[in-house]
Amino acid sequence: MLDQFSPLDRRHFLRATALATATTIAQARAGMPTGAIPARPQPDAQGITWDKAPCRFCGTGCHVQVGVRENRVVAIAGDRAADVNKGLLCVKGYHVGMILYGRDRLTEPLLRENGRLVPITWDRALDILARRIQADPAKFAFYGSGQWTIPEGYAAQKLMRAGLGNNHLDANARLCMASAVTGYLSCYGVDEPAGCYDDLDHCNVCIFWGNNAAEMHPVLFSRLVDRRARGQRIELIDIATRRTRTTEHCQDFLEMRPQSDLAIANGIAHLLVKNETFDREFVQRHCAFKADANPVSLHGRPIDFDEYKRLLEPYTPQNVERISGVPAEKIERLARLFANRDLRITSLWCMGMNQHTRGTAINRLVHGIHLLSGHFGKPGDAPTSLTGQPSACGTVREVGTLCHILPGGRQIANAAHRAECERMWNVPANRIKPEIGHHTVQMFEKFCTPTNQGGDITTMFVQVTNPGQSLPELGKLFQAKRGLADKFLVVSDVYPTATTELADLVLPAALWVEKNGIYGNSERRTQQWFRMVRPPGQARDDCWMTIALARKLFDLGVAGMRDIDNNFLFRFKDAQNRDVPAWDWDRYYDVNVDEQLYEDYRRFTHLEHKDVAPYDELVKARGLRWPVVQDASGAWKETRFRFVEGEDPNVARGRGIQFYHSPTRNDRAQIWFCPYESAPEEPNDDYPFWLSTGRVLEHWHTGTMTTRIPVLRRAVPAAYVEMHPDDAARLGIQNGETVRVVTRRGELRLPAWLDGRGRPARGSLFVPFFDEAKLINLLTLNAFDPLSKEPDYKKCAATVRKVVAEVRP
Amino acid sequence: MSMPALLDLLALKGLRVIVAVGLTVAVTGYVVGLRQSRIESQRGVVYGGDRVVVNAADADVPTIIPYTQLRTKKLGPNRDWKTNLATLTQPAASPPPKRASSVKEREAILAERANRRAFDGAPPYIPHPTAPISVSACLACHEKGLSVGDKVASRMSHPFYANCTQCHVEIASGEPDHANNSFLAMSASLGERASPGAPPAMPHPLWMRNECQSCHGSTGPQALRTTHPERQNCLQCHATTSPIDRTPIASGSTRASR
Repeated sequence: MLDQFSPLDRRHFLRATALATATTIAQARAGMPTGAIPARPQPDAQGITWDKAPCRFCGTGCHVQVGVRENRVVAIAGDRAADVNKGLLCVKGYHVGMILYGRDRLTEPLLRENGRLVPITWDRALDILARRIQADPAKFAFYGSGQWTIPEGYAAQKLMRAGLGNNHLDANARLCMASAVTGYLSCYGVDEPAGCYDDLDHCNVCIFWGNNAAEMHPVLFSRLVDRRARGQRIELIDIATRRTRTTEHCQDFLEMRPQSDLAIANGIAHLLVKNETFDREFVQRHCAFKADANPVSLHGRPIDFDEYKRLLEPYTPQNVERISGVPAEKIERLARLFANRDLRITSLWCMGMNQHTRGTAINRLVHGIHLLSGHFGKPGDAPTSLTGQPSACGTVREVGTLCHILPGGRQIANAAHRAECERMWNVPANRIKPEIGHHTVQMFEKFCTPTNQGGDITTMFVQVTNPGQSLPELGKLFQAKRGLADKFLVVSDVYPTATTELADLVLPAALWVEKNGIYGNSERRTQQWFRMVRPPGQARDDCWMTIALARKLFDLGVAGMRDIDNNFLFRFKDAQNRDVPAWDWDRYYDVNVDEQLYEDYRRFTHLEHKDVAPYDELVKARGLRWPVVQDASGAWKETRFRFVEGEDPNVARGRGIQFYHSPTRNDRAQIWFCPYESAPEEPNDDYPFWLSTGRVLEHWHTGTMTTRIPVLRRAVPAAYVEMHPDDAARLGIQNGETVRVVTRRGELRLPAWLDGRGRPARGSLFVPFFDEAKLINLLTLNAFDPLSKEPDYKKCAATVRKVVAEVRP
Repeated sequence: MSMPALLDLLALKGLRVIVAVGLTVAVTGYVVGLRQSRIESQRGVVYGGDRVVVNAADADVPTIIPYTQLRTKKLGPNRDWKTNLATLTQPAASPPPKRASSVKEREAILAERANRRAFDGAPPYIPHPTAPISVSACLACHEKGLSVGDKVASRMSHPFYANCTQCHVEIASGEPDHANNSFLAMSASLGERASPGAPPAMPHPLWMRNECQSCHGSTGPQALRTTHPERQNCLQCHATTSPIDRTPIASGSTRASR
């Protein structure tokens, strides 16, 4: 019996019964033939067939209409039927079809021989990888992505945990939203936002916590600012370390010193408590208090209100001003806004709060302000983290492709959870190892360390991500692999990248609408699409690669590839209930592998009431927000606001708000106190600047796709360093002049951009990370949050030097 | 010296001073006047009657208004105003085309139009420098539309969205380099008529286009301009083509539950 299903608790007992029934039904459903793919759209007057797909880029999850003619994507339009974007896109989205057609697409498997990549067959490629894994399965690591589709992530999860009994499975979402996860878990006991994008239509105030939404989530940002064009009043507040396009639309700008967001949040909480303007009734009914324990842990230690109040005492507006540089009046004003129960306040954040060595802490504090002031659960009252990748939520957080978790919110450390997964996968007991695997930074550190010096990862398979550009401190965590003869890097990607540069085996992947897929966006929305064009050359689906790799291992006799009944782990059935060998590429699309894997996975989502919608419902909709459950009439109904009566089917009648996954199991959310602490590396005389990194509107993450779109490439062709004009004047640096940016870990030559698109405060620098010719992550710090293990890309100490002309003899 | 004599002397001295000042002013004025006339004649400005006639052959001529006409004339540009009168002329609003453009003319203009976007339906990119952080300058020209010389700032064809640079990005100089991408763009199609003389059906989606004047009005390219600008209710005669318009009802799609 799982410990949260205490037999004394009638409601929990009922829920467990319902879960068991649902699981049985789902199992039956998953095992059944799923029939033919529904009728596809027909060509229009111009011979173009239009079909829906979520955009390939960020976590907003816009839907696009993809126009296809003669096996090629020829046009993209905003999807007017989509709730997320209502027909609007951003410039990346409008050009998303062009990502398929860069001239240097990878089209055949390549093996490095004598330093050069030479073409080999798929069969040989998979054989090489399978034999390396077979030789030492415990030293194999699988590194995936928030751009994995849900079935791709689920296949990887099953191969690693159910097949190889190996927990070294992690994903790049570790680098972008792990702190949001630990924040949600420690406050609500369950991951992912309670609110959704509908809050943006209802809030009176929206606070951006270190989030340049005008460039990073432009469609959501427009959803806010366009309300003004329709005559609505909405106040936007930007809390950030530099002025951006977002700031230009905001009424108030709190320019803060890096790391001091914790002080600001505590300052607001302090005033709410001191002035007794917090929502006493909400707190009494729904909340409890916690503080960091020593050593830090996800669930800390409970404290009472008096202690909470006492811990907040040092955070007077004046002290906060001293720490953060934000005028005390502005802190007081924010506290007055939160004190006003007539307002609806939404907080949005993304990398500013997550890529933070105190990421879990600041996430907790922002949730805490909302809970303390009762700005929670009404439309427009929500603390919501945004994600940067299209399926960081769907594939990484929900499928559980991280080193410490299993599907549906289950923990590897929890024996009951492991046993349950083993049962559902029909594999022998104790197949899943109880020790958690390496998280991303550790995984690459081990891979880049010689085996005889404790580097216990020797073979790594990287899918759908570019760690050679996106990891922090690249010299140590990635480039150190060069020259280590017994390390073997396998990379599946669509274009040559900084990662394939060091790869020993490169596998050409199908991209976006070249394959079936399912994504899960920032607002719990699961979105499905069908393959529309064939991939180029020999490029194939990542999901197929994983299944075909498993089959190779099966053929080599690796015991883990068989379940209790001696069957291969990945079985697919056609409409006549006959086995289809999906590992044979020619047969892969004889069945809808995506649908069958997804329905298998769907059983896992009931434990934490994250019930994702059936595949057939996803086909019909532009995504559905979980929990998706059937109402009395049998219709599937999505959920906009979690924990809210009348919206969330899991909330008992009469409760109003019920935190039914409370970490303290008493339906209470936790309001945390976490102190401000200085950053691990702060500027000093030698390195007097703060260095922050991030994105620009036109390029997405490491630029692998967007730099191949001519319009976007031309718009922002290369990286640069933004700095304050006063700092530049002091150093005698002209606009456009090439300068050296130096940290303790490396240096880079970049053109200086003064009064550019972003305007950092005095004493700080900003460099975008999309440019593979200018790897800013050679300079960044690998320090990470102790709970989320997410590195801090936003703060380290740097200096800027003029390039001194070389003296020629 | 007697008092009257002293006064005489002072008066004489005063007179001398006055005469001296007067002479100085006259001489200076004469010289300055000479110089000014020379500069003016060099610039080709002549005064004729109550009008300032400009020698159009000379390029950068500031118009000068005589002092006597200041009350009745509007002040012209000052010395710092650089103009190029030969090229910067505000064309008279050209009359609408008398006939519908030929297929060839329309194809030519559509090809030109295609140069500013990745495919038909993609947001056109910005062919001029922009302010990097604020979009307020966009509206100065594109809110109502503007044509100066051969430069046209087209009027927004879609409803106002505050975050212009979300969709439209600046191309630093010239055309994007398409050599590295083999994307084949969907091109715009030409409208079809049910029969000769029938109004052509709309050959493009109506989605995000509410301002027909943006392309079909007086600042639009001749081949796309309407022959009948006096008629304001465009959709009365020009129907959308449902498969092209791709309305949700046309595509037969199912909306999400909400």
